[in-house]
Amino acid sequence: MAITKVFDIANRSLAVYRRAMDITSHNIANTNNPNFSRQRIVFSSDYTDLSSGIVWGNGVKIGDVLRYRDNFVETQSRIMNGKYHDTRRQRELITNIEKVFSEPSDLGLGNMIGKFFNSFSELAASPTSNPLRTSVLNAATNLASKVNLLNKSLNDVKENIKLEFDDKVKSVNNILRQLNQVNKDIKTNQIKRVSTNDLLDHRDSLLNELSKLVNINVTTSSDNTVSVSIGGSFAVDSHHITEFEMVDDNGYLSLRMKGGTNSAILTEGELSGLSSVYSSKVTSYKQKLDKIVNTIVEEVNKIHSTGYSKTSPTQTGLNFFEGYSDGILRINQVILKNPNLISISSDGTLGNGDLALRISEIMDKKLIDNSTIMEYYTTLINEIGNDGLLNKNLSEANQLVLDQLEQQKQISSGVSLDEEMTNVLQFQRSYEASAKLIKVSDELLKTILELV
Amino acid sequence: MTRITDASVANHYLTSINSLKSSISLLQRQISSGNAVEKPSDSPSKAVTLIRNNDIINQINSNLNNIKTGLSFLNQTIFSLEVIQSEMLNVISKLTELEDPLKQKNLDNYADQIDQSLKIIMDVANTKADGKYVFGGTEILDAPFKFSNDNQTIEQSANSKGRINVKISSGVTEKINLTGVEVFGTILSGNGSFDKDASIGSVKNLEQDVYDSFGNQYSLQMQFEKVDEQKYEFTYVLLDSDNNVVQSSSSSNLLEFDANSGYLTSVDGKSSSELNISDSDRRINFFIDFQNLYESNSDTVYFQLNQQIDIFNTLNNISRNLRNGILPTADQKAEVYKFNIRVLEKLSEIGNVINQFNSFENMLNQQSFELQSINQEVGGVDVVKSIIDLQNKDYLLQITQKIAASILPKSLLDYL
Repeated sequence: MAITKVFDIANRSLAVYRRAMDITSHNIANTNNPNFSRQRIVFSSDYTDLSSGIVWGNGVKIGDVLRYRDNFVETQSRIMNGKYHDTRRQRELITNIEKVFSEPSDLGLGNMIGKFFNSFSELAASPTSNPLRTSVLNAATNLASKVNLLNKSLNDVKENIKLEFDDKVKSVNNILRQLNQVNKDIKTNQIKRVSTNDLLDHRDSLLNELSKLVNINVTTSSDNTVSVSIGGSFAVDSHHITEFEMVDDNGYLSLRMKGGTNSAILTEGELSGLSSVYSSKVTSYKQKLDKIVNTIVEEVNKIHSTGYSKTSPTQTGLNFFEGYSDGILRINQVILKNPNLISISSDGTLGNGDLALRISEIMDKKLIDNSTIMEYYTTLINEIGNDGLLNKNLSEANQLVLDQLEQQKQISSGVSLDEEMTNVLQFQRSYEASAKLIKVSDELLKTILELV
Repeated sequence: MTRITDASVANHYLTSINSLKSSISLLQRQISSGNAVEKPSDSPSKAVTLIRNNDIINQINSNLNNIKTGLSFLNQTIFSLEVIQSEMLNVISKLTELEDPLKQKNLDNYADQIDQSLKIIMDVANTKADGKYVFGGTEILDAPFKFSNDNQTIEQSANSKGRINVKISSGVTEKINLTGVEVFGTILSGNGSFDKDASIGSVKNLEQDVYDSFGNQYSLQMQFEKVDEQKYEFTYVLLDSDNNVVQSSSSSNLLEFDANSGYLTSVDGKSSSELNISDSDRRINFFIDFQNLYESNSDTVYFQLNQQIDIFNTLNNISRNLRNGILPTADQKAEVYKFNIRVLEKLSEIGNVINQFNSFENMLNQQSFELQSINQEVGGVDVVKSIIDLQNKDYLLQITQKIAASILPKSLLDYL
């Protein structure tokens, strides 16, 4: 073997270890990039020569640059991601709704309802008392304000959910466009035999982002491109892309292909959480609230309209509430202006408060689904509380699993600075050894040349 | 061996620190608000318990207010009745004195004293408390008792029969007033039962003597016709001593009985069971009370008058007679004694109601106290425990931060 071959081997070795240092630097630079998967250079011996019946080695070469990724963990992570973001968003929204209901406290609707009926009970004891009549109107005004605030807040929650859903659908479309482009880039790089590791990281990061929003099904083909479907509807591959839009179908919020007829079945992700709260929970809460308020209006008016006022001349046939529609509870304006029009006398005598007593007893009657108004209201609060608690527990459990999966991801894909610095030292030593080899070869060559 | 990366160490640190800060924030909020249950999802069952308990506490407070209002009115009623009773003793004393022939020489003087007593009793009967006539029922504009325009008799307002009911506990209402009718009024009370097996269309006739304010006798002819199951139409005719019709019912009154219990449920669709029959020209004024009528397997209906003439007109008649040199009759004396007993009965009745109100007040206060204790247990904060927890968490947070500060940046890089 010629001495010059040593130069070739050493030279190649220098290039390989410099490249190895590049990979290590790339890893170190991405230590804090959560989407990055550590890369490892695979060294292999170069092609051997056969000369004079002896196999001569040709040094080292780069066999491959591997990307460490656990696909099982990745898939599980995406599933848990969807579940976590679904329950987390629901929890956040229900917490907002809980704040509006302000229970259990003096500012809650329960307290307002109780005070309204209690004010009639006290008025029954002194039907002619103007302060007590004003107190009834104050209690009614507080009740109406709370009911109206609750309705407005529930409507605002729904409106905001709709806006957020629409924004998130745009994000879904944006991610799908990026995925389509990444798929194409991966294909091109593979044709050009250029490393696709960083593109794959970017793709996985996009899939991760998408799984936060919707439930996805990912199929990876042999060329490393992915085909994604959302809730059973095709979304993207390397050739095609689907644009989605928000649909509000009779109060049910869903995701649908533009121009399509079938909605994606949302089971995970933030969009699922938003749709669930919008379509099911808020609607249910509002229906129960409406039932309570309608019962109060109906029952109070039924009794009040038969009573006689304290005015001169006495009036009868007056409803206490003007009505309840579009989430607004209205007290009869003429009564609001004149408390003497509160009609609680059953026989027209001014000191009679029989009807006030009967109105106060509405609270004791089982009027809604075999429950009293307060029992039914506590059922509503219990439902809201349980929805919030369930989603809190689920989101915490999902986060725990997600943290463990993230840990698993870190174990296989995360960058360890200790590990990388050890590699740096190793590669540095190998680089120095290769350089030394060139120096030694140079001296050998000099010795030979001096012989001439 | 498991690879531990720098990111996993950092993530662990951040998770721990977030969890500790979240616990500290929650403890701080709980200590400052005193509430362990801030929203329903903190504990749905506890939240529901608190809402229900708070509702009951509010109802209790409202009932306590009603009891206060009621007690104030009842005490005023007691005071009035005591004055009336005291005055009745005076009258009885005078009537007893008049049995002594020596005292019968100066009847005008006794007439003056009887008039004085009558005035006091009338003033007290017309007294007001909390803006209402104590014996005025639900009528607040007109005094329940007044002299007729010719000053010959005393008239009673027909509206003085209204009851003032207050709620003193869940499902418990109690009357806080004695109506003018039940204390002073002339009431013809129906008792006994109608035969529920009687055929529809059958008629029950009853007759009862009634009197005007001067003591003249009239005959009240009453008729109950069964018009449907549990339904009877009542009509009447009032005849004078010469059998002339003085008054008759302008329309029938419908009495309805409960099919199961047999008790009277309404008169003309209203729960009020009293019917006023009056004729101001003839000074007739009495009430028919159907409350004690019921339906059963037997026919035992009868009517009974509680007095012939009310106390005001009785005293007025005694006074007028004395001025005319006529001593009080045995019937008049009997009316006075009877009224005195009635006042004593009413005093006892009101005393019982006051006792009941006091008992309820104690019970409600106790209930409220217990509910507040339960609320404290369910939704309150154990401040001492929370502060110790807070200190513990704060200590852990400091340790975590200290350790993280010394460990996190360390790697082989630091030693190269």
